[in-house]
Amino acid sequence: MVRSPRTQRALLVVFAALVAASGAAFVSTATAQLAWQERDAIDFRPTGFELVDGDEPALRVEFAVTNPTAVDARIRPSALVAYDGDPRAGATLSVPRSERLAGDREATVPAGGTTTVTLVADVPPERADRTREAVDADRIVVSGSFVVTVRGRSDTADV
Amino acid sequence: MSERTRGALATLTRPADASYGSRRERLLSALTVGLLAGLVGAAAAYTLRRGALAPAWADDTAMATLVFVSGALVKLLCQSLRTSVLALAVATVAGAGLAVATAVVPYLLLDIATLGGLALLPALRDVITLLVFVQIPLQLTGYLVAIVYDGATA
Repeated sequence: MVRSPRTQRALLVVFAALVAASGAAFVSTATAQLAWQERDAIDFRPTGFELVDGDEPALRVEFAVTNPTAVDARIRPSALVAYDGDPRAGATLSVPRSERLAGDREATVPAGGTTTVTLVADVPPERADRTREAVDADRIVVSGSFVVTVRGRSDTADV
Repeated sequence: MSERTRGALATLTRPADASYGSRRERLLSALTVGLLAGLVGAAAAYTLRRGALAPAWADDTAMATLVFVSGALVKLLCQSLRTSVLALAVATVAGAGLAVATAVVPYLLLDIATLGGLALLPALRDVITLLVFVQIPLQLTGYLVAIVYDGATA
């Protein structure tokens, strides 16, 4: 016996929902694939430096991070070191591998948006004076990389 | 004109009736249902292949369920066995074609060199693996389950 018109309509609704769900999954994944291809466009710009004095001096660096892609990206510092002037001259100010974000371990940069993250790195007490001079003279160069994560994929981005 | 439009619309909204209808009605319903089922299969297989970039709700289980149910709906919508076989064949061929397209089209759209097709080989390998082990067997299993259901409730 042929299915009743009501059953046929209900099955069509289920089929339409199926097409919509797979379409939504496809569009979302394809957008993320495109964002992944364009991950180099995520821009990190240091906007401010500050030396926090004390027994354990620390350098705080503000970064403006712009994500022009269509998918949210998560970032965390991976190897960022502050130098006095050209990094190739080797005048290291901050302690390597001491860098971390103020607050959370990771920061989220919204799709098509800009977010400000603060990077904190320890400074050895004997280099605190030189660091303060470098901050005042605007000579600090931060070099290294951030780990950029789009959904479940990660890559490093040089700064 | 209005006669033909109404006919096509009635065919599409009553696929089970159409699957027992005239040759034109059978072809139209089998092609429509088959193409849409192929689309669901290819989209779900693409999401499975790019699982790391998929949204959290579109996990492997959800996508496999979509493919399975789309196979069952081929038989439930195109009720007549003869029409449903044609619809499943269309779904398989269209699904395979679309799945290959999802691997090739990004290279063309983003203008990435394929090195004479060499760069496409890993993606096509994944597409074929998913076709042979997921997309086609899951859709076929769903279709067979629906045949058993229709047979048991006949």
